[in-house]
Amino acid sequence: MEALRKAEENFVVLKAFNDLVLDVVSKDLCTKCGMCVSSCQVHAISMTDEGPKSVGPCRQCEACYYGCPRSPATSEELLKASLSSEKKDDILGSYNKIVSARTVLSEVKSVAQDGGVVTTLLIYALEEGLIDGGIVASKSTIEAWKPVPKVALSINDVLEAAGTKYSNCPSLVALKDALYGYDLSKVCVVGVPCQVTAARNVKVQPKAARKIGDKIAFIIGLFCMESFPHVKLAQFLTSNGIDIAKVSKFDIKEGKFRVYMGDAEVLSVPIRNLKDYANRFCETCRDLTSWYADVSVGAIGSGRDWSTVIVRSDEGAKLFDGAVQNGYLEVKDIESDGIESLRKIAKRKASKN
Amino acid sequence: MRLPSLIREVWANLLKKPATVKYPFEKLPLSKTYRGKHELMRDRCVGCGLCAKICPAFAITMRSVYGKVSPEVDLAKCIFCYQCEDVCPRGAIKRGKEYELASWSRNEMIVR
Repeated sequence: MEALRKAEENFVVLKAFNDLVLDVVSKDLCTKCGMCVSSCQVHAISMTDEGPKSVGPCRQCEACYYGCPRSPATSEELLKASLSSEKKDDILGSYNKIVSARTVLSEVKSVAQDGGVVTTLLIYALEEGLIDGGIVASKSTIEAWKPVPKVALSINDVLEAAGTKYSNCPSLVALKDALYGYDLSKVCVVGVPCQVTAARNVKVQPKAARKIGDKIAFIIGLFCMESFPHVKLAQFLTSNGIDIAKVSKFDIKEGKFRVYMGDAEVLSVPIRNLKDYANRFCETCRDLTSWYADVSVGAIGSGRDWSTVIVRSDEGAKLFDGAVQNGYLEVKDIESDGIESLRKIAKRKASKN
Repeated sequence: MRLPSLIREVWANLLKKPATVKYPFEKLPLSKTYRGKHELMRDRCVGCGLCAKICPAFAITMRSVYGKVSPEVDLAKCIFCYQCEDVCPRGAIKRGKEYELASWSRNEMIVR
């Protein structure tokens, strides 16, 4: 009896994959970022369109549970403390500086969404040897405009992945390929706020998959209002008489969702009309500007063909300033109303959700 | 006909530096991925026990030390496959460079 009581005292409840399903996936919180898949060391999780799925016996190492950006165990204090930035801001996150930037590379200008800053930063880091590869969302060759996770090892891969896709993509699944398949030791993760939180999680949370975190050199975050599942986006376009395969560019500018075929704008609808098509998990997100990234990049706040860049950490400053000094990017001060409009939109997302 | 070349060979090798090193006094550089004695990083380990589960030689046991569960590697059983390093999600097991592991007692063969 004594032994039994002692055993009970020492018994620790370990978080299995099933706890992740109960706490995150079944509550419609799962962002399908793919971090649980790459965290799992026994390859027991695979990613489907509906979310992560168990494909093997769970060994209860808890890595998936603590790496998940939406898990109740994620501590924001730890994530905030990991960034060494001067200015603390509740809405834009902590940052060192905010500037406007755009690329000077002509091959990037032709494919980029706005300023082409993310593509240029990746090209600079690859050429300079700061990273061995990048985790990006590339375009599927089978279904038009369906983003697929990809490990970008060359400049061609990076250029292929340029341009914004408005569907969510389990990018971080590609971390597994990068670290165990290609055996890379320095990778750069590009992602939307939820993926950035996951990538920062595995760097700082003690119980998350720290081995992966050691090999992430930079985290580049994107601005994200909400994302649309690829199936529903195609549905919406078909209901408006547009074939998604013929679309050349999507864009959100001045509160309107715009669709381009060639150079001509064929559709522009206010974003609020698209509300029914957005992902459910985006309703719980308050983060517009990727609070935990090294560098955050987005279009809001800068003029046409310029991108707003928020540098948050020392690593981010090393990457961005290096690219500027080596003549990959041109920089200008952000307009005074730029930060205000960024703050306004960020506040709207934070208060709405 | 073979004799002159043989003599030449012997003469050349007499003057050459030896290819071997005098081991205990002189040591060869180790390769980057050399599998020596395990380095266990206690601050990273959370005691999930994956290393003990995967170990093919049953060399790793999970022991509770000061209320924290952590692995012990028995070097007498270990076959240095380093599957434990591969499987550890937190990177708490590192390949060490120490390779002179012989000892007089079994207790000293356990990495704690």
